[in-house]
Amino acid sequence: MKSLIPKKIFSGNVNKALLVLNVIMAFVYIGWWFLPGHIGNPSLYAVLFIGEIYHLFMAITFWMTIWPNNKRIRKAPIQPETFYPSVDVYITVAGEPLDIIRQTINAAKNIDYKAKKIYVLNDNLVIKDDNWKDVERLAKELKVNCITRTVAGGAKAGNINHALTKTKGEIVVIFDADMKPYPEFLKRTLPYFVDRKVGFVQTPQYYTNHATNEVSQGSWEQQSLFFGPIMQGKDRWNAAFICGTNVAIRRTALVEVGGMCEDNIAEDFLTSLSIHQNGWKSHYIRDVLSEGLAPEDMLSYYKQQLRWARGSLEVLFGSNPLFKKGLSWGQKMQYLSSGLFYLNGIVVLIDITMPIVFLFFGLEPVSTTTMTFAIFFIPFMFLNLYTLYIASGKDVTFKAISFSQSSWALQLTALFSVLMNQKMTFVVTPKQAQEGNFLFLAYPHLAYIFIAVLATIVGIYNYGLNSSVSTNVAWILFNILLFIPFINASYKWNKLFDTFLPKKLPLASQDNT
Amino acid sequence: MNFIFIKNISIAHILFVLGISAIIALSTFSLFFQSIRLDESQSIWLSVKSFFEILNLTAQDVHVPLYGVILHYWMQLFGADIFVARSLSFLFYVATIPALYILARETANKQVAYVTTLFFALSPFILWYSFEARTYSLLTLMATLSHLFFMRMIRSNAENGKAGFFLSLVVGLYTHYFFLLVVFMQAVYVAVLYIQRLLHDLKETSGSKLQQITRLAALQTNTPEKKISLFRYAKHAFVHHKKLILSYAIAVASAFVLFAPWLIYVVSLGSASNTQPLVPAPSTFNLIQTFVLFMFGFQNQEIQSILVSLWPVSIILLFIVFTKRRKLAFKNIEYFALATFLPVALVFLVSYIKPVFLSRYLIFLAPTMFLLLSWTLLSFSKKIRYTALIGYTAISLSLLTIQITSAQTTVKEDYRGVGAYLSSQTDPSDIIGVSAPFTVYPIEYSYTGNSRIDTIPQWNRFKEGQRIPAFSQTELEKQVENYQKQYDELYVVLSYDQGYEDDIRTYLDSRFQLTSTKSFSNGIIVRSYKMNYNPKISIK
Repeated sequence: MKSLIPKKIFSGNVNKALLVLNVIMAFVYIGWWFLPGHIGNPSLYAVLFIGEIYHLFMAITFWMTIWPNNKRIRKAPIQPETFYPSVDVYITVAGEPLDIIRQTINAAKNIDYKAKKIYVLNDNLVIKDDNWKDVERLAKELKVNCITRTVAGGAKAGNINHALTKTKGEIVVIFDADMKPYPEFLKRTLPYFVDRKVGFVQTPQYYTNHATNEVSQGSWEQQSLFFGPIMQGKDRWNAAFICGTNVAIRRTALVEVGGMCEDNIAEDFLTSLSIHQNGWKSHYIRDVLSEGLAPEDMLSYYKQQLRWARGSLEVLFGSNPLFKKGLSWGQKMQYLSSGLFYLNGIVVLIDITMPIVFLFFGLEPVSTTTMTFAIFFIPFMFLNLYTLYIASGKDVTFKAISFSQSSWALQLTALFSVLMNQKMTFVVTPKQAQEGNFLFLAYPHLAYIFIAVLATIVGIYNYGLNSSVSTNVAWILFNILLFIPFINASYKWNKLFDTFLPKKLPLASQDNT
Repeated sequence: MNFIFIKNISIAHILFVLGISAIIALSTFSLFFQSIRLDESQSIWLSVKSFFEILNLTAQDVHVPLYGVILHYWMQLFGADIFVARSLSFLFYVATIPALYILARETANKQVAYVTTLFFALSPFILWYSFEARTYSLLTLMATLSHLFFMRMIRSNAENGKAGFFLSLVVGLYTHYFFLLVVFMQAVYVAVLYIQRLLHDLKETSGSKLQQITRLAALQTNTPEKKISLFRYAKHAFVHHKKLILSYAIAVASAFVLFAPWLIYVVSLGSASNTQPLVPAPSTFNLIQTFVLFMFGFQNQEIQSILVSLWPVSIILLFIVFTKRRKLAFKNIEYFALATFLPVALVFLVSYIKPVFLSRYLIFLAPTMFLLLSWTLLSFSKKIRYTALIGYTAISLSLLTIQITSAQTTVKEDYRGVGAYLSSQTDPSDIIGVSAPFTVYPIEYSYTGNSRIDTIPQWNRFKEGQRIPAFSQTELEKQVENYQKQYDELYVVLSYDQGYEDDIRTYLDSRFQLTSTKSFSNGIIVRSYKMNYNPKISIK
């Protein structure tokens, strides 16, 4: 089915004029917020204002990310015949099914490059998975090396660091157990290492199962936005970071920073930061050079996102890129925006709460006619969305935006756990759909809908159906419409029909098929 | 209507037919039973005059004459009646439907065309003006035809559509001054195409393409290859669109040549007659309200403000437009976006200098707005698409019903009710005073009694070039003193407050006995005052 696989992740070129227009419009919009005449309830206004400043900052860093910077856009270098570094291919294993590991090993063996050694980094023993010996047997059967850790620690990063002490290849290539590399992986990534300053080369994560269900689809659509315009933009600023898998790293660069960072749940993110701090260059190439599996159930998706959120927030609070030496201004902004992204949860919560506060208590954060606000807001929003659309190569989906905005609850959980210094263990994203009812993950959203309906009733009862009430109800409706794809993906709603409808009905029989 | 007879009739087809049938039923009701309105009475008053009088009065009224002239001959053929006058507008509306269908089909596909025409045909706003004896349904038709032929020119590099485009320009310019905005948008779009080509050429600044362009430009401009400059690039881009640009320019220039006599005539007349109501400066509310009106028509103030304040929901539409969705072709979408939104912004800005922002003047934006809306909704996934279409259709039909049946509809003017009331109450010993003066037309049309009808302030509209005088308290006192000498009772009809309604009311209330008061829809009030206790005429 390779014909279905895109050769490159979509992204589009955004005109500089459009970006400048965006900035102008953004300042016009935010300028409106600075006018003191618009202050309603001062406390609510302050909270909302902070949220708007956050939006502005994130928007500006996004435009900075996608700003066309021709200096970094160049053709892939040609690998001279004399450049033939030794390569260690690591396949990290931590509880994945054997057949998936087998496929990955076979794919790694097919990589078109002679000076490579394949290592299965077997962590099944330390995670107390009974089949750890099966992994060793599989490696032996497929004639690849297997390094089994006996002492736990550092999760995936610890596993890689342990392997670093056992191997000697000049370049280390990391694949998760479910990421099957294509034969041309090394032919496409190694030439970049001719430049002795290049520390690592990252490639996209492509999910072959993205069309399986709502979750895998939403997850992939979010990923394609990240591996499309965002990572390409970061590459322009020499700020692309390691994404845990499908990456080739120069051993020297990795060893120089003490191996993969074991202190943080997002080990790849912090390791990249350290490598960049040491003056190494990085590259991101948007060619799809391997394929893997997306989470197929909401719980797996939730855990994956929570880990990323937690890791990034830890970096933000513990190793703030702004105060790191050795990073360029552009790199600092890029790392900062990646970390700040996960604060979006708190801002979304503020935004979705305001209409409810008004409907319940009549407190207005902003004192203006709703139409005046619309005149400033709509053009700003229009340009924002249009730019995102163009930057994504017209490929960004509503579902991707919905999943991103609906992650506020898990982002808040991550924020809380960081602030409370709660421990969080590294859990590998399951490779097969987990059975069960995961509607509980959408409870915050369902609770919001319930409270919003209640607030609407109270608001109409207290103030009548006037224009202020209807605008706030419209905002609530807007939020709910954004949450719907996420709620829809969290539960197999057709089960409800199975429960309530007689089984002989055509609808039930269709679902069963 | 071939689509009705196709083999596989889908839900969409059934909905389409049902929708259209419902419209006809509701609209016929509207056509028969609505009262004449101020603007309509002016149209009829004007159209019963001679051809040259129509030209003269229209020029003074800051309008263009085509509709008045057509209505003149139409009423000569079928009778000078409000029903006859309205049926002309209805014909223009009916003619717009196939024109819009063809435009949408050529721009997108049949499905979009069906939905666009359904939305258009269902629009309470469009229907309102389709049954109003005014120029607006003709303006909508001409704008639609102009888009159609302009697009044909664009898509065929001016091979097709030239004659139709030229005719639509001429007729459009003589239909309404706001048609100039259509012409302007088209000029902007031609400029956009030209700039796009120029940027495209300039972007190809390396390799064989550049050489190809420079060579081509050199050949076309007889210039040595090395001397190709930005100017030459500009010329090359012009050469690329030469046929289109020239055809467009010739069509527009020719249309303006034919329109020039009218402009010269208007200028030669000097000042306008000032018979129009005051147009207030628009607010941001009006800006969004315009599109809400197009979709949901005229509702009472509460419903309208609620509909307008629901604007945040429209942000979801932006999300849909700017995210990946099912592929639905839409050629020259930039033109339709420009043609729909830019005129509103322009008129809004201009209105801060001279207020001209009236939603009915912008009715020509509705066809392209419905085209964009239907395309957006049809881009949704199947479930959402059907929910949105059925939901929108149901809401439109409901609001159309409310618009027709509710007495609170903002644009309803029950002058027929006023006329009937006055006819039953007055006799030649009474006098009727109408304020504002220009509202005399619908009252005159509806009134069947024998009393004299006067205006406050007094306005001799039969005298050529006579403007409505400014209100003066002294003049009012003199006018009422004269009434006292001749009449027993004064019936004052107050509507379209021009800033002095309260002065009239206060003066009369303080001086005379108020004998009755009656209110009609949208603030029309009739108050009667005892002028004289010793009747002079004993005709009663």
